[in-house]
Amino acid sequence: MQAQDIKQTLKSLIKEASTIDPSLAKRLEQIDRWVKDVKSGSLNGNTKRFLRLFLEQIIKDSQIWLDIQALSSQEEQEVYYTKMTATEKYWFRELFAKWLKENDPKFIIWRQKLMAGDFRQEDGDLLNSVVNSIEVRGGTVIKRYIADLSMATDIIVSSRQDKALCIQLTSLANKYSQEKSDSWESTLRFWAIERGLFLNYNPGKNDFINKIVNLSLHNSDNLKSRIYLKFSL
Amino acid sequence: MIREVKNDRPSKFEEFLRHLEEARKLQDDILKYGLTAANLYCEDVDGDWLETWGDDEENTFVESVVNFLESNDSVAVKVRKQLKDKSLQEIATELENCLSFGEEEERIFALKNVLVGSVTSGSIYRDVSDDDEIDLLDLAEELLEKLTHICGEN
Repeated sequence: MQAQDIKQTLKSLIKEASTIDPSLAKRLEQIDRWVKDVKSGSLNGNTKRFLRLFLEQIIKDSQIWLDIQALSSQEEQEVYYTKMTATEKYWFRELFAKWLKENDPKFIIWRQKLMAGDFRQEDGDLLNSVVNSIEVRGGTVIKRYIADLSMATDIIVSSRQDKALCIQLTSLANKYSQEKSDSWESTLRFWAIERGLFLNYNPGKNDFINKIVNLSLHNSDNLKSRIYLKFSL
Repeated sequence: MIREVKNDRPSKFEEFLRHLEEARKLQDDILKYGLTAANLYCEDVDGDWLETWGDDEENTFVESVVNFLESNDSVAVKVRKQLKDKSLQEIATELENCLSFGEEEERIFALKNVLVGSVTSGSIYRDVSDDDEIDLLDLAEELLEKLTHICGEN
């Protein structure tokens, strides 16, 4: 696909959404305007790559959302949801649905950061290893930019009991981790995410990836509702 | 029931499954390749697609006002703070309505009423102190200046 085509895809999705789910149309229009504003900022190769992937992801999620919302009965929708993993179901039914309905206070902040060229993707290799191990052990994972930037959630994980858990990973080297964990909890509460795990890991320790995976899978099954667990490895 | 749905909508259901698979593949690619995954989805990611985004469209007045309200401009920041319970789209639409008044004084008065709206939850003038009233009047004047500028650009 040519880069220019993404704009047309976005426009046609906005048109489709306006009859099926106006709240999605409104969000996509906001994103369209937002991209237009970002272009006046300090652009670099990473900003463009991030934006391209973000747009690709929001378009794919919107297509899935519209496929489901266009169905006339709850019964038909359920049939579609059976094709999703527990984590995907949680993402679309709970968080993506909330994101479309609620005002997202962090949306403006992301744009400002992007315009300032202040965008870094940290911990990419770590996340890839963690996700691979979780999947090898039968868990399922969702990773979305919206969850990361607006909902303080690096990954959403489900294990045997199909109970999705929002997880934030941060390195001990991060000197702002206390501040980060406070803000993490208030963000989860804002979105009415009913439980969460904040894992502060030490990359210098042996086997830390395996420990992250164990804790994620265990807490996904066992962490109680209304508990926001902060844990240092 | 599953069979019935599939028979009724074979193409839509298959399309949904395709979308789901595409979303899974995208997630895998982002995890595996990070930002360079963008090259897999776009032949010319380094081209000028972002620089030319929306160049062929003119902003509507409301869109321009929303952009202004989202900015770091000190007037925009004050308006956002004052009307924090409303969406920017909603505010922009109300502000546009204020400009339909002919006289400058009437416009300022209408803008001030929009700004006061959130403070008093409907009872427009009660509960607003004289100091607040003066501050809001000042803000309404500054806002009118900004809106007139945006209006000129459109």
